[in-house]
Amino acid sequence: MRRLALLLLIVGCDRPTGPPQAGTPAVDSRGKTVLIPPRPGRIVSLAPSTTELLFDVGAGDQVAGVTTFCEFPPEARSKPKIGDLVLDLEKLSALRPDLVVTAWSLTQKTSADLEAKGYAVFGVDPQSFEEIAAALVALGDITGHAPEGRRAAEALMSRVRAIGPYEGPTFYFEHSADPLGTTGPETYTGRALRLAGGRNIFEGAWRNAVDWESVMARDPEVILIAHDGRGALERRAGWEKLRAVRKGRVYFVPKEHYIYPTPRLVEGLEEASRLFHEKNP
Amino acid sequence: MRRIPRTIALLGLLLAAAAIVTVSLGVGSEPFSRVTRTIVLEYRLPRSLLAFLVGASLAASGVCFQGLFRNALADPFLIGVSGGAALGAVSSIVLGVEMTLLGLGSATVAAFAGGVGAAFLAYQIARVRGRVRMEGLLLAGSAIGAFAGALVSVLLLYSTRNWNEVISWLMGNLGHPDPWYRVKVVAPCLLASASVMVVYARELNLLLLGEESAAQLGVEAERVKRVLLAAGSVAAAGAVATCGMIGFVGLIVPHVVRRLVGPDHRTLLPVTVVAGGAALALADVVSRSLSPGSPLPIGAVTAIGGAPFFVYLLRRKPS
Repeated sequence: MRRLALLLLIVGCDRPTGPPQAGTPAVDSRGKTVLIPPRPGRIVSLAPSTTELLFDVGAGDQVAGVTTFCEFPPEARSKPKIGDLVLDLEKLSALRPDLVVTAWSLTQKTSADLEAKGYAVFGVDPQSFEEIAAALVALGDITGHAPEGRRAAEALMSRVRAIGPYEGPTFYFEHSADPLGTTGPETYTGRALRLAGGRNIFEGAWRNAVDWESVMARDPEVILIAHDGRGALERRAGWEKLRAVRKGRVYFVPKEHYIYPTPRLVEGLEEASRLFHEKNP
Repeated sequence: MRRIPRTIALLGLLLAAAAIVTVSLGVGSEPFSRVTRTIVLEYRLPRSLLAFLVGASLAASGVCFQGLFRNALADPFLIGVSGGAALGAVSSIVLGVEMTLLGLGSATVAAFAGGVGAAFLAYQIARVRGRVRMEGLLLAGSAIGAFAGALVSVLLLYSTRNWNEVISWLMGNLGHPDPWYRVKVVAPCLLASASVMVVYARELNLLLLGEESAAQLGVEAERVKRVLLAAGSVAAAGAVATCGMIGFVGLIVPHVVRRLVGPDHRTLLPVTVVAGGAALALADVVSRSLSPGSPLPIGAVTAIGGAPFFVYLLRRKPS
């Protein structure tokens, strides 16, 4: 009898908990057709970038759950949390989401699991300003905010277009001090910095973790520090001898302007462009 | 014992090779440019020195604990130093404590305090009526290590923001942009603890006969144990607080050296200290040359290179 009860319990857990799929087909960034319910009202977002994009198109009220990483816009902080890198599936299913929106490349495994359970999972994965604009349009379309999505995309692209072509200084961008972390040119951050007119000292090589020695050897003209570890910079080997330090071209920039593929990246673009244009004092 | 001078000569050669290779790797034959000069003098030199000091500290701590516990599996992290240091470092990283003490950052100070604190706690737990039983200390140490490890996991669960920093610390990392700063932390710890160990080498030899026999030969067993435990813990904590958890060096190097120069701690201790330093300096060169630009985790290199060599030594027939 106890064995039977246990069996029933297991079977009960395995039943697909997602809603039945019905609605308008929409193609997401994977090229997959997802059935979107008419005007989804209980959206769960699995990444900070998608949460932000949903608020940008005016669908914030329809968001039912976010991750603990989702801190922007501030309204997102008061939304129910469904986990961080690891999802709390019980909390998620208790929210009875009618749509899951995610940055596909960050959450491949989890998203595939959720799809297998019957949830509608819509992925966006912008890697450039054009793709951020496209994501705004797509999310506007599926949440019933098509005009807002288009307006947000147009506002973003007009700011991007206002940045003229420029062959500026070489630069080193650092988003983490321990371990040292930078970005190569093939990321959305790298592309934005290129667009701003900077020449990445790690151009041509994929880099995330770097050795301080290779920064010293490339001796950039500008250094952008996007983390809080600024106090320990002076004790780095050869710090005062670096060209950027001698010329006073080490700039501290807010990390959040650079690390999310959302319209906030244009703040980073404009800021970096301004800094790259600054003449050597 | 005629092999001792030869071994020491070999070690010196190894050390010189390590020093030359580390400093000149990829420099080329053209005259030194200003930048190359800065890199070699201000980065590579202190980095190699740091690798040497950390390796030496771990090996010193390992040989001390192996003798003290009369246990071949003893390593610097045996009595909870690593767990305590991890807890100290991770809580200061996660809680975002920003302060400096004697010019040292809070994570370094917290890790050092945590490591030494854990060892002290284990010692206090194992002390019954003024006597410390080594098995008791070993068990208390592993309990504290497990407890601290669990707290670290819980802390990590509540703060996912600093995972990178914590992981890099747990894997061991010599690639800090400020090697001189770290040298200033490790060097005094090593100097103090290794001197104490060398001074007590004879007592350590006698303790190998068993505590009763040592006592009959005039060794104040409890005091000697206390001093040596403190020395071994300080050496380990200094290394762990600056460069994270670099495994294997502290376990293997003492064994290798013991096979070469024999078990007399008066020779074994100093040779192990130098050999440990040379081994880690070489491992650092390997990690940097295998993957230039973004070096491999040093802990992986020491284990991948060290384990097969150690197995070879174990299987080799004694000559």
